[in-house]
Amino acid sequence: MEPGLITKREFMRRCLMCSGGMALSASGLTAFALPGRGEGLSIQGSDDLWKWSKEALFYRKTDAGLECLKCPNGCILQSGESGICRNRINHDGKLFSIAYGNPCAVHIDPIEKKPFFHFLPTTRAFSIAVAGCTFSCLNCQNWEISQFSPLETKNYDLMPDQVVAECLRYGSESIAFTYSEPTTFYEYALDIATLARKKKIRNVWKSNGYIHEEPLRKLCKVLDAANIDLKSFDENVYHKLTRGHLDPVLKSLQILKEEGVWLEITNLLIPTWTDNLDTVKRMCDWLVAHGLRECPMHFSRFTPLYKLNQLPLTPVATLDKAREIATAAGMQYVYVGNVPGHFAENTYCHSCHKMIIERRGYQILQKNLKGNACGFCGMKIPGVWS
Amino acid sequence: MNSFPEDERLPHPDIPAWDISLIAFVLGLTSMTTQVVLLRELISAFYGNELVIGVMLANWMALTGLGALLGRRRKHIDPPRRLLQVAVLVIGILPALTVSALRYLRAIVFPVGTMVDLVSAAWSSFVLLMPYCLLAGFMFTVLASAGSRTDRPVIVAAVYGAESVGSFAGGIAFSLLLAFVLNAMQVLAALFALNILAALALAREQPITRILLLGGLVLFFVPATLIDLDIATRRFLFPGQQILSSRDSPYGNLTVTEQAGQLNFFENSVILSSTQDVAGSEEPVHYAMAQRPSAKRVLMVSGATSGAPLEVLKYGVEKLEYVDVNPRIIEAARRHTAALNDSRVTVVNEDVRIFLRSATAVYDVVLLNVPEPSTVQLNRFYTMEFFGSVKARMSHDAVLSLGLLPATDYQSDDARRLNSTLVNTLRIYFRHVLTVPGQRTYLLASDSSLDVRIGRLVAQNGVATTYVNQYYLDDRDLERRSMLIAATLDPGASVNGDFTPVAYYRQMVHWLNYFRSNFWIVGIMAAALLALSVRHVNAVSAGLLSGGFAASCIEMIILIAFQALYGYVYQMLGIIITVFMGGLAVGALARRRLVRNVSFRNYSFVQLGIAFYALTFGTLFLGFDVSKIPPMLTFAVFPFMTFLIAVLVGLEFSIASLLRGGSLSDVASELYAVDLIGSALGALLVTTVLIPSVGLAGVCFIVALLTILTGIIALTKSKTRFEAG
Repeated sequence: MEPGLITKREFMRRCLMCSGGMALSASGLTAFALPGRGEGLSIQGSDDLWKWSKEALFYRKTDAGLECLKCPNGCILQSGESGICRNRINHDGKLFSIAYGNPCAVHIDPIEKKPFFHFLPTTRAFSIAVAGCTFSCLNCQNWEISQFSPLETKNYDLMPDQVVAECLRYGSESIAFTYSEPTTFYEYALDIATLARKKKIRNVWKSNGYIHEEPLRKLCKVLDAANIDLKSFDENVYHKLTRGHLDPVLKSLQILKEEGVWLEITNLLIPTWTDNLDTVKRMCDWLVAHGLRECPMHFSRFTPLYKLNQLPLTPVATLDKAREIATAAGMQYVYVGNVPGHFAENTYCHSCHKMIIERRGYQILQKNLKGNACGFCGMKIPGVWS
Repeated sequence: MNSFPEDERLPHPDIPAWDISLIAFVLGLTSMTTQVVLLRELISAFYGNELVIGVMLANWMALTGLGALLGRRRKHIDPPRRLLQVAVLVIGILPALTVSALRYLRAIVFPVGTMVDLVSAAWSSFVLLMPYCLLAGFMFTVLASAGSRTDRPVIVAAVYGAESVGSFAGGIAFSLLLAFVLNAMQVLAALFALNILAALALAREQPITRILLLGGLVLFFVPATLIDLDIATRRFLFPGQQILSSRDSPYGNLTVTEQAGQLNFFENSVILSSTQDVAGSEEPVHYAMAQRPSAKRVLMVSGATSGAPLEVLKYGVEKLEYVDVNPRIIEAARRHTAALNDSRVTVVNEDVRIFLRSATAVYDVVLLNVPEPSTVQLNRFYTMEFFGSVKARMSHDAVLSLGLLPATDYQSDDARRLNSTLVNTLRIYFRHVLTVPGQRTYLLASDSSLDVRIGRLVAQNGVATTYVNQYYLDDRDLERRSMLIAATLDPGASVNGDFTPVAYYRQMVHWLNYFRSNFWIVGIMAAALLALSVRHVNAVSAGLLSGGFAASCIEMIILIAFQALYGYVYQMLGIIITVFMGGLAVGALARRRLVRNVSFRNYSFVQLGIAFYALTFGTLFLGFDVSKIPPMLTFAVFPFMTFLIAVLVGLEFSIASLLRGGSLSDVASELYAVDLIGSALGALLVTTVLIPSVGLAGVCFIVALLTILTGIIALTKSKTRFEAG
């Protein structure tokens, strides 16, 4: 070997010795571990599930594994696997929810924040969420809980009876299942809602509406109100934005209406994604044609969030146009959200067009309702006012 | 022992040595300018945190190194003149084509308006940079081997030197002139013109070629002056919006768009603010102002385009000083809003850290409307040194406000750690720190008490607001959420400092969580770079590998330290980078004056010199309170320090090129490639992993360790001695 040269092996050996020292700070190296997949997270090395689990409702055994029948994602899970929502796991041949009694977010919010404008106005909702979601929306406001599993979040320990007790302690008139996607903690929500009903506490559901018919109808028996995010009326856009599909959501709207659950709808207008006014018109035409004209429609202003943060806010003029289109199509109550001070925060009688509720933020400045009727023309105003 | 007669150089059959040098000079100038412009465009199109920047820089250097290695496959064939002319033209046009492709493809390959994950940013930048960088690297090897038939490796150093001189000239021209007067596409068009002129110079004896080139020049530039190429291509980045103006500055690009009556302000394609955004203009102001409604003197840093200054003026302030380093933001605010029109508003176009050094006023409220600490540069506004300098200019019960991550209904662990670090940093100087969970999480700091019941305060003060008031804010909820955040803070979390920056690392981790990712791509890239270099490692190239790594790390440390100690002055940063290039050139070209004998011993000593330099630098950070260094001394010392390390590295390259045996193309390609790979490793690792882990001093010590290691290898392995040639 020529003097002055080292062999490649020798050089690599020396380099490895050097980097071995760095490798001793083992915690640092975990930063370089290949990440696990978000979907199909397995609970490894555990014979028992943790305390916050309950056998899931709505699943069946197939040759390929356990098929979850809760939502249209239709996950089929092998032993130890969990689904897209991260909250169902195949354990010992049974499907379990690991989102039971372990909410990660618990707050008291004005009901208008959900938003519900025609349901118990100015009351407060005891709001809870467990981590997980059936979608992966690019603009999720609560991605830190929706895109993670309850195994990865810091959670409270609140079994259903405790939730109801806390709600009573805080004097909230309703319990809101919100922030993430309550379909993913279905069993927990169902049990809470059942107990709450007995205590005359109302139950409200803030959801993407991505749920099969059977579980939804069962839930409706204990549900008082729902606000469904109708994210787009274009299937392509819907899928690109959320990884879900439109049709099941439309079906859910109809089921909620049939079951007598008070329904309000939110449509977020995202520039270049969901702000196509022709699509808005088609959406409103469909809603009117399917008996949903009385459902308050909330056109919400987009703010850059999560992965969709290189777009500007929705122009107010776009929201105004959408409102005009919806009103012209026959929707009776159309609001504009996330624009403080906008006149369309107020409620106008769909018959005489006078302002019957003047809102500012979460407070009502004046109310011209007589019971559930317009204080001016006597027309019945749809909603749950007390 | 080999020796070469002085100036023995058989001429290339086609191309005189002067032309080789000219092409190398133009290549260096083009590459330096292109690197700055292209990287700014890439960062604009994707996201500009240190991870993304590090990956892109590493891609640039690795691809150029790879191109250099490909150049060695040519076996001693003198490149025909025509090939070089074509290469010069292609090098000239590629940057403009690359930027156009980037802007066009961004919205096609990735969903509109989305943030792109690190892996996608890595492969996208790799693909886009490939044509230019491979060709540039290839050209270096071709040029180095073009000058001689006797394989005199001194030519390698000469080409390296000429290229460095070109880089130096490009750096000077861009940072002192072009960045202020031309937009990105105009700069690239000017580069193309320069390359055409170089091709013309090569075609001195080819009249037909000259006519064709001149014709091409006219054909290109006539339409280029009629069409605004910058706006025409930038339009793809803002679908559905009409671009009202797009102005470049040393601080990046500011684009103003209009959509349905709303104006949007984008800085480097990131939305800064929009008109009609009530929460965006009120939150940064009223949470703090409501605490001190009698404030007379207010300092606001950035944020004018949101209309925030007008909110401040709703209180009875006597003076509002608005400080912003980016003149384009000031310009845009003046042109499109009334935010800076009031006579009580004084506008200062300066980096706030420089401003505070000479400020004499005392402020009752300080509002920081700076972006999150996503880069080392932005991290400067969240350090204990900065908070200390702000505190020194605050009255005894004054309030400081800064806004962080968007607030959500749940605080993740990495968000908690970032908040903890910043709260602990604030607590060094302020008795009270309050978290206000608005649409963003705001931190208020003061020596006097603070009240989270904002709705009540605003009502009490009688100030008219649309959003920040009791109608939209529930004080009970604010209180509860604020207490929840406070309860989860870690009192032991590291404090953020100029030389121990951790906040931007925390923010990087938070960003990675968007994609449920971690630093694995950095690890893979580093491993790939090492694997690429291992094939070519020997006692000579190992020194260049560590030298390239050292140069990259130390240059970055110098830039960071300068900004921390002096402030952000773009021209000065440009000068530092340019001085670095100049030092490389001096080291490469003046080897004979600096080192008489070319030997492994002297090669080793140069490396030990680099190690000594790094050790000294590191000791300075650890052992002294460098914030006490007078700013003007900083101004003088840093360019000198930069020059010194660059001379050492340039010298190292020059010696290496003589020590390394083999054919000229082997020498050129291998050494250039290994040098670049070392630089790529440094660029990739220094801000993403090393500085957050071990601080600036720690990085210096790591650099010293590595160069000592390779210096020892060189010292122990050979006693071969060369006479100076």
